Parts: sequence; C-alpha cells; structure tokens
Amino acid sequence: MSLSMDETVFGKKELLQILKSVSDRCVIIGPVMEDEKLYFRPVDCIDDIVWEFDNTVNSIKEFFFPQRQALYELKQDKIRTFEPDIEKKRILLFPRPCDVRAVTILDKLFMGDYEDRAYRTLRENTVIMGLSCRNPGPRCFCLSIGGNPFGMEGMDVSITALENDKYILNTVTDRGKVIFEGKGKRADKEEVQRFERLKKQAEESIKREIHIPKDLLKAFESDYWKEVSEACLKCGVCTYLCPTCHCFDIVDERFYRIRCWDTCSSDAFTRMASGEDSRKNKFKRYRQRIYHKFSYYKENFEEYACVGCGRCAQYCPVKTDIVEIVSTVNEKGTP
Amino acid sequence: MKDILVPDLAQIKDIKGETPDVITLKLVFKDKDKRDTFSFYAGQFVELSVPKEGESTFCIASAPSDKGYMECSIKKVGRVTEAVHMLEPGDTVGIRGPYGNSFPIEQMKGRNILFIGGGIGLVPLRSLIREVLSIRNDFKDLRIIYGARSVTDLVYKDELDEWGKRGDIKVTLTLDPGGETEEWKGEVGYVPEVLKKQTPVKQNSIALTCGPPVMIKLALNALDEMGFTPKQIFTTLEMKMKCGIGTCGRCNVGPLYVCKDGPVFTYEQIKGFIEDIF
Amino acid sequence: MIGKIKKTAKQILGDGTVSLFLGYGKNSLGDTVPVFIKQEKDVEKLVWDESCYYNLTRYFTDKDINQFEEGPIGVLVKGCDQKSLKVLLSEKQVKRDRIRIVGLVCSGMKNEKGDFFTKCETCDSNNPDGELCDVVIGQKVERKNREDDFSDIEKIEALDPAQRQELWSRYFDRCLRCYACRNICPLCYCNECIVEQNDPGWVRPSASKENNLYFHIIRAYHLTGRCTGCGECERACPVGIPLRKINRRMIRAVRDSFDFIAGRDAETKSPLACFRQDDREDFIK
Repeated sequence: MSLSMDETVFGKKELLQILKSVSDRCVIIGPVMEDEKLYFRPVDCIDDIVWEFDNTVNSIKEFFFPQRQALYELKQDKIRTFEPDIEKKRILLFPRPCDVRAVTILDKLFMGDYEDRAYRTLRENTVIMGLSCRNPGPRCFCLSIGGNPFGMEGMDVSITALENDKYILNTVTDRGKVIFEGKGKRADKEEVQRFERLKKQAEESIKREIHIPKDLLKAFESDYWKEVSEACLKCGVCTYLCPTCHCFDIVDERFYRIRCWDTCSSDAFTRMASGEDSRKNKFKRYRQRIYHKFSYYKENFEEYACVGCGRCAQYCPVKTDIVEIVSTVNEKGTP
Repeated sequence: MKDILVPDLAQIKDIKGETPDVITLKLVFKDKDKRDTFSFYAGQFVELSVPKEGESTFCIASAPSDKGYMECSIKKVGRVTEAVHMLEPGDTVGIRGPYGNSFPIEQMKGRNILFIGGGIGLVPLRSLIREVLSIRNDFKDLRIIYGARSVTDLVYKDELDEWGKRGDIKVTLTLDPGGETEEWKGEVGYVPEVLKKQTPVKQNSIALTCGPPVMIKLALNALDEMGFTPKQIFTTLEMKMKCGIGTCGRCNVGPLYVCKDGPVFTYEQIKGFIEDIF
Repeated sequence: MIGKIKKTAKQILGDGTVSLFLGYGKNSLGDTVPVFIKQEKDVEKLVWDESCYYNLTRYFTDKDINQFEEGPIGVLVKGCDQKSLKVLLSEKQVKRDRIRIVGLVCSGMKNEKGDFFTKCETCDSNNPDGELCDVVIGQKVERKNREDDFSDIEKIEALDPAQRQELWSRYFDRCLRCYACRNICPLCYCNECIVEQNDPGWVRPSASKENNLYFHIIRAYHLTGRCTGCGECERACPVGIPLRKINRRMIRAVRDSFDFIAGRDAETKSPLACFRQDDREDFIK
C-alpha cells in the first residue's frame, strides 16, 4: 500500500505532545515494561511507553474480549446487567499490524450472526494507532498468512518510524484524521520513498513461511496428530497469548455470571457432567486446535484464525512449533 | 436491546418425577410479552440458569403446539442439574433461547418415520413425536423403538402407554439385558439390537435417533447396515455447550457448531468427524 | 557425551528393554524440545547441550503417553530431574522396574538469553545419584556452586505487609490462569485438579484477584514437602511470575520444621503426606 499525498510526518517530540494533550480525555493503552517483559497496558505516564520493541507478551484482544467479564447478576429474581466503561475514549497505541489484523478476524465472530454488544461498544470506543514492523522477529510469519509487516488493516492510523526521530503517519479512517488534523508536515517525495524502501526491507527479512494444505481435512484421521502432540502439556499458553483465539467459559461466581477465557486444550473443555468426553485424548485436542484455526474458521468466516505473530511457538513451554506442524501435514500426515 | 447472553426469567409451575433421577419442569415466562411471543420448533433447546449454580443446555420437551408453557426434562448428573432437582414450584430460573435448528418436519411429511431413542434421549424426540401426532395424517408409517436400562429409567411412561394404545403408531419398548422385571412384557435387548431385529423398511423412510453417545453410534451403524443412506438418518447431538450461540467454541464438530448448525444433524453431515464426537 | 547417550538409547530400544525413550531434540527453529523416541533410527534426533533444561520426568504422569505404548520407558535425567523422580517413586506414581534411568552429569543449563538459570547457580546435584540410575554418562564434576541461602526470600519477608501485598498483587494480577506451571510440574498429577472442580467450585477459572491468589497459594501448599525446586514452573510461566520463590519458601519451611528435604531419597514420603507418632508439634501454637 503506497501512501497518498496527505500523509504527514512528525517528530517524536511533537507526537508525544499530541498524545499528552489527549491523555486527560482518553485512556491510552500502549507497550510498557513490567519486570523486564513488555505488555500492553493502560498507561499512567506517557513517557513510560516503549517506542522500539519486537512484540509484547499479550496481544490486544483482551481490550475487546477481556479475560474476565461480568455478564450480569441474578439475585432475588432480578437481573442486573453491566455495561463496559466507556466514559473515556481509548487509544490503543503501537499494536503491530498482526495484532490489529487479528481483531478484524475476531470481529467476524463477535459481531456476526449473534452480536456481542459489549464487544461492539468497546470496538467503537477505541482508536487503533498501529506501528509498522521495521524489524520482524525470527518467529514472525505474517506474510504467508495474509498479513504484512507494514499492514494497515483495521487501523485508524498507521505509524512508521523513518529515522530515530521522524515518524510518518497514514490516517486510514476519519477517526484517525481528527486527532492529527492540522498538525505535522506533509510527507515529501524522499520520505515516501524511504517508507517504501523500509517496507520492502521488512517484507524481505521475513524468512518463516507457513504452508497450509488446502485439503487439510484429508489428514483428520491420521496418526500424525498423535506424534506432533506428544510433548504438549495441555496448558493454555498458546491459546491465551494468541491474538485470534477466542473460546470462552461461562461460570457462576456467587450471584454473578462471568465470562472468562478458556482453552480447548484443557481437560474439562468438552467433558460433560455425566463424564462423557468427545475428546478424551490429548491428540484429539491438539488436532482440534489446528483444525479450528486452519480449516473450520476459514470455512465459516473466510479467514484463517492465525495472523503469524509467532507467540505460540515462542512462549510454549515445550516449544511446539505450529508452523512446522501445519506445513509438514502433507508430507507426513496424508496417506 | 438486551445482550444476547442475558436470560429471561421464568417460573416453575409444576414438577413431575419421571424416573429416580429425571424430572420434568413446566415453565412459564414471567414477562407477559415473552409469554405471548415465545415460540420454537421441535428439536430446539434452551439454556437454563439456576442462580449461583450455573447454566446448562436442555432440549425443549413440550411440543410447539403446546401453548402458554414450555417443558424441560432434566437428569441429575452434576452441579446445575442437582440444583435444579432441589427447586420447587414457584422458584425462578433463567431461560435463554430457543437456539439451534429443528427436526425436518416438512421433509418428513409423506414418509415412514422411525424414532429410535435411548434413556434420556427420548426427550427431544418427544417434542417431535407430539408434534407429528397432532398432524398424524401427514405421515405414513410411524414407529418408535425406545429402550432404557431398567423399567424405572423409562421416561414419559404415561405418554408411552398412551401412544401404545393408539392404533396409528407402533411402539416397541425394550430394556437392557438384566434390567427387566418378571412383569415386563416388552422386549429385552439393547436398542440397536432390537432395531436390527425389526428390519424397518428403508424406502421412503426417515430415521431419527437420540440417546447416550454409544447408543447413537451403534444405531447409526445398524441403520447403515440396513441400507439407510446417510441423508435419511437424523440425530440430535448433545455436546458440552456454554454460550448456545456459536461463539464460545466448545460444541464444535468440524466446522459445524452443535448449538447453531445443530443440534439436529444428518449422518451425512457428521460422518467425517465421528472420531471427534464419540 | 552425546555419543554415549545415543549409543545407550539405541541399545535399550534395539534389544527391547524399553519401548519408548524420552530425551532432548531440536525443532526446525533450532529450539530444544522434548522428544519421544520409539525406533532406533530416530535416536539420531537426540542432542545434549546447555539448553536441555526440560524435566522429562513430567511425562511419567502424563496419562496420554502411557496409553500409547506398553513396556518400560527410558529417560534422560539430570541431577535436578532425578529428585522429582525420587518423589514420584516415593508416591508410587512410577514403578522402578518400568523405567530405565540414564543419568547425565550436568554443569548447568542456560535460558534463551544465555544466562544460567538461578537454580543452576545453587545446584548441589551436578552428578546424578548413581544408585538410582541404570547408566550414568559424563565425567564426574567437582561442585563449585554456592549454597542456596534463601536470601532473596528473606528480602521479601523483610518488607512490611502493605509492600508485600503490592509485590505479590503485581505478580498475580498478571496471571492468565494458563496452568503452564501446573501442567509442566512432574508432581501436579491429580486426575481432577481442585481448580477444575465445579461442584463445589473452590476456585473459579476467571482471573480475578482472589481466584488467582487462591490458585497459587493452594498449589504451593499441595506441593509443600514434595516440590524439589526444579524451577520448570517459573520457566514455563509466560508472564514471569517468580513461582520458584514461592516453592522455595515452603522448601525452607519444611526443612526448618521437619528436617526434611524432598527428593533426597526414593522411599521417604513428605512429612505432610504421612503421620508418625513422633512428629514434632512444638511449632503448633
């Protein structure tokens, strides 16, 4: 995507100034350090925001689909519902193109046949200012799954660092335009060319590729899944850090009905009160995870439920690599 | 507009004991508008909440033509169902729904229908059978094969008796070997075995089955052996469900969600994923 | 050492002594991963370097692994892994004649940043216990590590209650309830974990402040007197909660109260798992 002529260039100081000026009216959520790791958190002090980083531990899905959400309270025959707190608008600052694209993929589910009102409210209340990836990490593979390190899908504003102090902004939506109206200077030809060169560099630096077989269903009954899932611990690290994983549980806590994250890897996911469980074995659960992301979601919503961020392989306690597993299915999995 | 995961309140009007661990609740919505406008198709289910305990999936057991109330039959297996069994007429529960697809009544018209049920699996079939019997002449030969572990485990005993006495529907009851008593006059044998013995005609027929997973699996095999095509066989699946609206991800069978694309499926739809169901 | 490791694995797989061999290998990214070797030809996958930090004894309590094969299972253990194995043996979760133990001399493992793990700095088991091995591979090393003096724990204990609450809240608020810590632990093998019980729902699955606190405290208590400090829980945690500190606090408590350290021998059960007439009671106030 090349830039049109109303792209603007800002110095870092000027950008900081603009952010500080809106910080009383908006909640700003950005990448901050916490005990030597990077997380997206609502920030108290704009200066805490980190401007150069690989990627955060958490993705931005929790800001639309929280880990724990109170749905309602049912007490003494009365129902009391809860609304998300939208007193202040929210600015999501510097999520990577992969994480933002993941939110558009989740939109298809949460704002599909049955719309999740709280989700829509939070979506409409949030301005997303993404940060292009000049240095994709060694585990990133967004290119081979429909993404781009300089992608702008789902963003209101896309920010790219040109040099240490210069940032080029592309306002994608009107919401984004409003915040930066009349500020910064028009990008000149040289700056636009630099942007294009950096984009090409970033794309070329991504070496990892995922190859998703079109006929993945053929391998459904293969013993391949037993082999690749042997080391799996059935924890929820891959699920909870994944920007597109969205399965949840609904539980009662005293009189509140709570919705919270859940993982298809866990023992109790498909187990019914009678003890019946359609996925008793670990390999069936692992197979479900792969198929949900690379077959079923695609069939239902026309998108793979994966954006190539690489967090699953990076944080898995036993380093199970989804790229290797999916790409080798045809070689080892189909008869 | 209410959020989709928030229930409507309903009151228990009556509780009937079916077996030592199954009761049937008669429910009426508290809100008049809801009472007047609520409608459903046979085969659909609701999510029933007991305050502080949780929410579970139950098929609607009454027929769509039963106006003004709704019935659910509930077996005691876990936390929520145990709590339901402690409720009394007058207590309030939450209801979300109706969700899911329904039995293909239009497709069934003009055909021979075979209902195969086991244990608590008669519940969704009962809604359909009542509906079918209310327009009996639209169908050809009707047959019910229903079995349970023992006499006490048979649900809807009164209704089974009534149906058996009608001349226009053949009812075969069976008990699992070892579950029969001296007075038992019906068949003895597992449902799929009894099904095979009956050699139902497959031309112009539709078979519908529901029961414990192992019974469904064997019944599907038996029907397959007898020459029924996968499109002629319907089943209603029950998997662990939470949201009921196809988002929480629990109940999916391949790309299908039991809560949204089901719970009624043809064998054709699910045979590629049998490994993930049973 | 890798030559001897491969030779041993090949031999015991080839002659049928074991039907499965648990070791370390590499994935396509070059990360070290646990490998499950069932055939002689796959023995080539085995590696041995400073990133073989996995505690493979965890797979002895993985119900899915035992379902796959029949026959004894061979395993590579470092000194620290062997301690967990001793606890598993004392709790009768594993039978000695169903496993073949290949002990490895280890001089420390490094994390992804290239630093030694904290546990390696205070390691007292560089040389595995030969009495509980079928084979020991590697030249014996002289111990050069410092003792674990629990000084980091004392620092936390020196904080006042408000500071301590702030510290632990900061950690537990990050907890996602992914249960990586529980699932990677060789000693967390309950068929139904207390947090998964719905009736009664002791600890609910949502990541609220209280639920997270209860989960970690309960887990610490369920491991008291059993945990050997292998630190896999802390390594597995994606949000950097210092779990090994919590477990070490309990290790010190059991040492001081009962003069017992888990993982020393394969017979004695944890003092919290058994009752003796001569148990100390003087600390009960």
